[in-house]
Amino acid sequence: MKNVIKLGFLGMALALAAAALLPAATPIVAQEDGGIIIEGTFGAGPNQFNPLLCNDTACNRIVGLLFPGLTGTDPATATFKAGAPGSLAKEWSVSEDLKVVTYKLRDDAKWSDGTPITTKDIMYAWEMIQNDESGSPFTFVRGRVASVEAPDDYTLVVTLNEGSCDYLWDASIPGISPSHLFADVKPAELKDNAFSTTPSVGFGPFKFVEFRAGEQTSLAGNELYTDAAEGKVKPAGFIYKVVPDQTVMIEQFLAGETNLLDSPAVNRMADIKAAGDAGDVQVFSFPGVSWDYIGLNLADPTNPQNGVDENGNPIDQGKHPIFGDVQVRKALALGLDVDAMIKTAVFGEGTRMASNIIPTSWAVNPDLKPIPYNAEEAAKILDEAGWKVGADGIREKDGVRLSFNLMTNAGNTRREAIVTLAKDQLAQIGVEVNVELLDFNLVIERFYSQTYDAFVLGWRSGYPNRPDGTQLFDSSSDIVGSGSNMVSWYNEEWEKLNSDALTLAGCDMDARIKLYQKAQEVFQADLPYIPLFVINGMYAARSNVKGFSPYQAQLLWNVDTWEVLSVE
Amino acid sequence: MIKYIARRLVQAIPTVFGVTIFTFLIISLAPGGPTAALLLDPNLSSRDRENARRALGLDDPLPVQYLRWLIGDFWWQYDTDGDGTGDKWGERKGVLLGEFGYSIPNRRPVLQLFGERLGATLELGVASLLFGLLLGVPIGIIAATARGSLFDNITRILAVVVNSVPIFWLGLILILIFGSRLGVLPMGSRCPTALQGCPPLFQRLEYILLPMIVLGAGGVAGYSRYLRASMLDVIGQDYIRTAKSKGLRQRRVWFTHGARNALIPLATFLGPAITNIWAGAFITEQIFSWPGIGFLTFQSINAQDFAMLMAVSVFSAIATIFGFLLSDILYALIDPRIRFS
Amino acid sequence: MTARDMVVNLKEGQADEEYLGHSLLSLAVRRLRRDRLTLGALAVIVLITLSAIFAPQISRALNVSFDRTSGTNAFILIGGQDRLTFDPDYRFRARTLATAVVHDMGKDIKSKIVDTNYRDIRSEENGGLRVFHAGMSTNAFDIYVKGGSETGERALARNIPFGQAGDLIELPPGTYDVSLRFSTGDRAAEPFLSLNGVEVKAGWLAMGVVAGGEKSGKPLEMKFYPQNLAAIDPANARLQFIQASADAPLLNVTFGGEVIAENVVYEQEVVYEAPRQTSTLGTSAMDAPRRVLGTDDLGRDQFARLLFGGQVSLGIAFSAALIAATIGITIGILTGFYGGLLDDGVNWVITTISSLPTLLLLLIIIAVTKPGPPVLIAVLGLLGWFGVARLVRGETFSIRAREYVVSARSIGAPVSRIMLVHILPNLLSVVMIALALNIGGLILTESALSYLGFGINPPTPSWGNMLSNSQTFFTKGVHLVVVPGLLITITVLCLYVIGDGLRDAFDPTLKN
Repeated sequence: MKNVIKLGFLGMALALAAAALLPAATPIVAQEDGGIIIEGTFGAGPNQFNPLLCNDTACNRIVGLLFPGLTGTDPATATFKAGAPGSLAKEWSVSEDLKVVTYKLRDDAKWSDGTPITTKDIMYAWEMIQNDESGSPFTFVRGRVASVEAPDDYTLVVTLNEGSCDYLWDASIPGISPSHLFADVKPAELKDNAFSTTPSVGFGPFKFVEFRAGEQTSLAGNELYTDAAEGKVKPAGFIYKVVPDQTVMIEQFLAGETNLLDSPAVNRMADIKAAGDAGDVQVFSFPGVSWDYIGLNLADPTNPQNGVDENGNPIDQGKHPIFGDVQVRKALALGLDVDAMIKTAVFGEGTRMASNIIPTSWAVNPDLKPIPYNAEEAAKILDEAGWKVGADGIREKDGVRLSFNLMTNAGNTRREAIVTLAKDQLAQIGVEVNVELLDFNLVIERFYSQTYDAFVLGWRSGYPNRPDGTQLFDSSSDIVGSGSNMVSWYNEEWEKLNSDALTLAGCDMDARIKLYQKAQEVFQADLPYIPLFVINGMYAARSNVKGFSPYQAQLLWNVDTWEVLSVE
Repeated sequence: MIKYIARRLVQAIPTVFGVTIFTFLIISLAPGGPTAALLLDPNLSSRDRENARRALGLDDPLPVQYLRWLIGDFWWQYDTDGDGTGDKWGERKGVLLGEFGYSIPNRRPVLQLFGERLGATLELGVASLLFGLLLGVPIGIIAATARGSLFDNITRILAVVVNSVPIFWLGLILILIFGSRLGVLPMGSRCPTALQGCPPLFQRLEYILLPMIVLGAGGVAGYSRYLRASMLDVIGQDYIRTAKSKGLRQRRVWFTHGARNALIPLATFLGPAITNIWAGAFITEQIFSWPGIGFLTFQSINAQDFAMLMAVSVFSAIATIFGFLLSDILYALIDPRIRFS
Repeated sequence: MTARDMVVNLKEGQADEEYLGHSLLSLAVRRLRRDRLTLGALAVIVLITLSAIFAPQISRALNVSFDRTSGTNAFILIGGQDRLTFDPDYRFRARTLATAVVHDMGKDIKSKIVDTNYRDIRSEENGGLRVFHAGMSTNAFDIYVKGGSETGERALARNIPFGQAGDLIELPPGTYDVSLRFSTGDRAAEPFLSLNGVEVKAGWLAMGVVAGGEKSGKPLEMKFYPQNLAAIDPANARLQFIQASADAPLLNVTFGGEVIAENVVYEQEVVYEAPRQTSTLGTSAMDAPRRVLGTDDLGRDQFARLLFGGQVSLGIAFSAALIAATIGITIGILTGFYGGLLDDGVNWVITTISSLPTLLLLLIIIAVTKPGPPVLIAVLGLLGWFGVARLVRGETFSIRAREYVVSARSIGAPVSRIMLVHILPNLLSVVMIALALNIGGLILTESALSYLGFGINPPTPSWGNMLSNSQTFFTKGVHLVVVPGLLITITVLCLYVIGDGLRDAFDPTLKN
C-alpha cells in the first residue's frame, strides 16, 4: 500500500514536471480570409440553441445567426420587409378582416445539410408551440394564432384570433426547426435532445461549429447561404465568448481581445467613446428601446378594481386622492427635471420621451415635445388647483397632503437615482415623495395588485416597434392582479385612436401614423405615466472590423459582408 | 471492509435527506418562486403564467412538491378533466431515480448542464489539490526537519497570512500583477479563444496557473502546517530515536522513516480538502471565468434556477460525504493500527 | 489547516507546577503579557475597531466624507482642435475654487487643476496664499513671505516641483512680499523672483502663478490673481482658469462640453461658476493629492470609506460571532450535559448543514431573502455556531465527569446552577479563542459575499463591497484594489494571531 502511494506521488510529480517542460501553447486560430468576429457576453452565456426553446438574449444571438426566421426587416426603416436577406417569406398577403395571413415561402432555401426548407418545418414549430410537453417558451403565440395550415410546401396560411394591422407581429411563428431531424423525437424529450447544444443545421449566414459551455460558442460562415450580399459569407467565423461580468467584457474589448461589443453599461460608454475618439474602435450610439417612466395610480389604491366588467362596461374605480386630478399630474411632470435625471442616472446617455412611444418608432409624433422642466409653472398649476403650501412646506388640499409613496426596485442604481432626484425636485414645488426601495418581485406584486401610489419602472419595446398601446393602457388590460394597465387609465378618446390605428381597414401606414400621433398628444395631455427617457444603446467594433454599420437594434444585419482585418 | 463502507453509506442517507429538505425549504421561500422571471415578460398573459406555475406544480403544498422532486410522480394519475378520477400519468421520475429535472432558464436537463461543466471543475480541482500537496508536503517536512530555522519561520508565517487573505482578493491581485501589469499570463478563461477546440491542458498551462495557485494556496498552507506538526510528532518517537542511535544518517532517518509515517495522517485531510476545493471553486471560477460548476452555480443563483441549485446542493453533499468516507478508508488502509469495525 | 481546526486541537488547560494556586485565567493573562506578537495584534485590532467606531468624528476632523460625491468633468480645448485633456477626472466639489493653470515646458503644454476648499482656511479672519509653479525650469523652489504681521522673512513652502502648487498658506490680512528661491539646500541663495505688495484679504485667496522663463522665451514673472473664497456659493464650485503658457495658441475653455470662454490669451483669467453636480462621468481623480488614500471612482474619499466600511464589516462580524457564540455555547452545554437523543439530533443538524459548502449555502439563502445588514448578521450567526457548539460540548462532557461537578450533583444542586456556576466559567478559554478565530472568518465571509454582490449593497460601504468593482480599476486606480484587501488581510491576520496567542496562553503545553 505504501508503495502505491509513493508511486502515486512520484507519478504526479513527473506529470507536472513533464507538463512544465513542454513548449508553450501555440494559438490555433487560423487567420483565414474574412477573419473572425469575437464578441463577449457576460452572465450565464448561452446554454441552448434549439430555436424552439431558446428565449434569452444570449442564445438569441446565436440562434438569430443560425435561424433567421420567417419574416425579415428593413434595418433602415425598422419595419418588416418581404424578401429580406435570410428570411423565408418572399411575400405575404392578408385577408380583408386582417385575420388570415398567407405567406409565400421562397423555394430555394435550404438547411445547411442540403434539405429544402418547407412549410413542414414551420408546421412542426407550430405543433411544438401547441404542445404543453415540449416546454416551448412561445406559448403566447397560442393566444394570438387560431390555426396554421400549409396547403403546399411553400404556402403557409396563418389564421389569427383577432385581426389587426399588426398581423405580421401576430402571425409570425417562431422556432422554425429542421423537422427532418426531429421526426423521431417525442415532444417531451425535446429538451433532452442533443440539438440544443449541437444545432447541426441552420439556414442563416453562419453554421454551428462548437459549443463549450460557459466558455464560448463558435460559428463558421455557411457556404450554402444564398443571400450573402457579396456572393459569399465573408467572415470566417463568429465566436461568442462568455466572460464573468460587464467590466471584464468591456476591458477585453478595449484591450482588443474581442472585436465586437453590444450594449455596454451606460457608465462605461464614455470610455468607449474615448477609445472611439482615439481611433481604436468604431462606435455607434443610438436611442435604445428600453425606457423608464413614473407610473401614477389614477384609481383609488385602497379599493383596486378592474377597468371593465365582463361585458366590457367601464367600472367606476374611484379616484386616487392625488393623481386623480390631471392638473396634479401635469404639475408633477413640469416639476421633474428629466434632463438632470438623464445626466445623473444614465450619465447623459438617455433620450427624453414625450409619450409612451419611443423616439425612434415609425409612429412617433415628431412635433410632440417632452414636457419641459418648469418648477414655477408647476407651482402655479398646483396653486390654481387648490393645493396650497402648508405649514411644513408641503401642499395640502381639503386635508389631503400632497405626499405619496414612490417605489422602485432596490439595487437598480439607475432607478434609485431617478427616485432620489424626483424626491429632491418635487420637494421644491411642495410635494413630498416617500421613496420605497423594494425587492423587484415585491414591486411587481404591488404593481399588479394596484395598491400603490406611484412607481418607477421600465418597459422594453420590441423590434420592429409596435406602437399599439392596448396591452399597457386599454381599460381591458386593467385587471387587478395581472393586467399591465395597472395605472387604471381610462381615456375614451385615446382608446378609440389606438384601436382605430390598430384595425384601420387597408392598414394605410400614413393614416395609421396620423392616428398614433394624435393618440400620443392625448396621452401627453392626460399623462397616465410621466414618461422619462429612453436609455441609449451602443454598439462598438474594433477599428479593424470592416463593414460594421449597424442600425438601432440591428447590429448584425449585414454581418455576412464583414471582414476582420488582421492587426499588425 | 465492504461492510464498513456499506454502514457508512447508510449513515450518510439521513444527511443527504436533511440537505435536500433544508435547501428545498430555503429555495421555496423565494418571493415569486421559480417562475418569477416569467412575471415581466409582457408577451405572457396572466393565464400563461398560471399555466407555467401549474405545469411545475408550484400551487401544491410544499411537502407534495418536495416528494415530487424526490420520488417523482410517474406512479400517480392526475385528474386533468376534473371528473374525480385520475386520467394522466405523471412524468417525473424524481431525483432518487436520477432525474434532476429541467433548468427553467436554460430549458435543458440539469444533469446535462452539470455534466458539461464538471470537466472544467475537476481539472482545476485536481490541479489545485496536486499543487497543494506537492508544495505543502515538502515544505512541511523540510520545516519540521529544520525546526526553528529561517525557512521554518517564514513558511509558518506565510501559512497564517494565506489563511487571512480573502481568496478572491488574492486572485485579483495576481490578475493585476501577472495579467494586467506584466501581461505574461491571461486574465481569465480556460482556453485560448479559437474557432475550434480547446488544446490539451499541457498546452495551456498559463491559463490554469493563476486559478490553481489561488484555489490551492489554502491547501499549501494547510498541508505544510499539518505535515510539520505530524513530522515533529514522528521525529520524537522511539523508533526514530532507535534508528538514529543505530547510527543511521540523520537525513535518511528523517526522510525514509519519518516522512513516510508523517504522511499517514494526511489521508484524513483528503476529505476536507475535496470540500474546501469544491467550496473555493465558487469564487475562483467566478474571478477567472473558469467555466465550471462554480461559475454555473453562481449564474443559477442569479437566475433563481431552482432545479439547478437543488442539484448542486445534492452533489455538494454527496461530494463532502464521499470525501470524508474516502479519508477514513484511506486512513484505515494505510495505518495498520486501524481496523474496520 | 483552517482556523477552526486549530481550535479543535485544543485541550483542557493543565496547571503548571510553578503557578499552582492561581486561576487559569490569571495564568493565561500572565503568559499573554509576555507574548509580544499577540499583544501587537491586539493593539492593531483595538486601533482598527476604535477607528471604525469613531469614523464620523475622524472623518469630520479630516474634513473628508464617505458618501459625498460631487462634481463633473472639465476639458480645456486648445484652438478648438487638439484637445488637451485637462485632468478629465477632476471633479468640482461644492465650496471649492478650482484653479486651472495651463503651463508649458517649451513645446510641451500641460495643464493642472489646483483646488482650494474655502473651508481650508480655518480662521475667518485670515486669507490664503498659494503659488503655482508653471513654466520656467524644472528646478523646484521654496516660497518665502515677508511683511504683514510677520516679523522677518520665513519660508512657507519648500520644494515645489514644476507643475505643482505649494500648500495653501493661511495668513492674517496684510500686505506681503513674496519671494522664491530655488530649493538648492543653500539657505543663503538669493531669491530668483520676488513680488512685493501682495495683498492677502480675509476670506480671499491670493493665487500666484509663476510663468514664463527661459525655455518659453518670455521673461520670468509671478502674478497674483485674487479670489474671494467667501463669495463662492456653498452649493457650487468656482472654476478659475489661468492661461500661463506663453507658447500656447488661443484657447477655448469648455466645461462639461459647454464653451465658457473663447480665444483666451496668455495671462488671461476666466472665472466660471461651476455647478456642483451630484453625478459624475467616467472615473475620478485617483491621485487627489490631499487625500490620504485617494478617492474612489465616484470621488468619495477612500480613507473615510474604509473607516465607515469598518463599522459595517466589523459590526457584522462581531455581532454575528456573538450570536454564533451564544447559540453555540447554549447548545454545546445542553448536548454535552444531557447527551443522548438531543446530542444525536444536534449532531445530525451539524453534519447535514456542514456537508454543504458554507458559501454556497449563504449565497442561496441570501439570493432568496435579499437581506439587509440585520438579517445578514442573523444568517451568518445562525450558520456559524457549529464549531463553538462542538468544542463546548466536548468541554462540558469532560467537566461533567469531574469530581466537583459530580459532587455538586450528588448533593442535589439544580442543573441550571451546575451549568452556570461550574461549567460556564470553565468554557471561557475555549469561547474566547473560538470567538477570535470566528470573527476573522466572518470578516472574510462578509467580504466574499459583498464582492460577489450578495452582501452589503452600495452605497453603504463595507470592506468587501469596496472591492466589488475593483477589476475596473486595474488600469486607473490600483489603490482601490490594494488598500481594502490589505486592510481585510491585516485585520483577519491579527485576529488569527490573537486566537493562537490565547490558545498558547491558556495551554502552553500545546505550543509546538
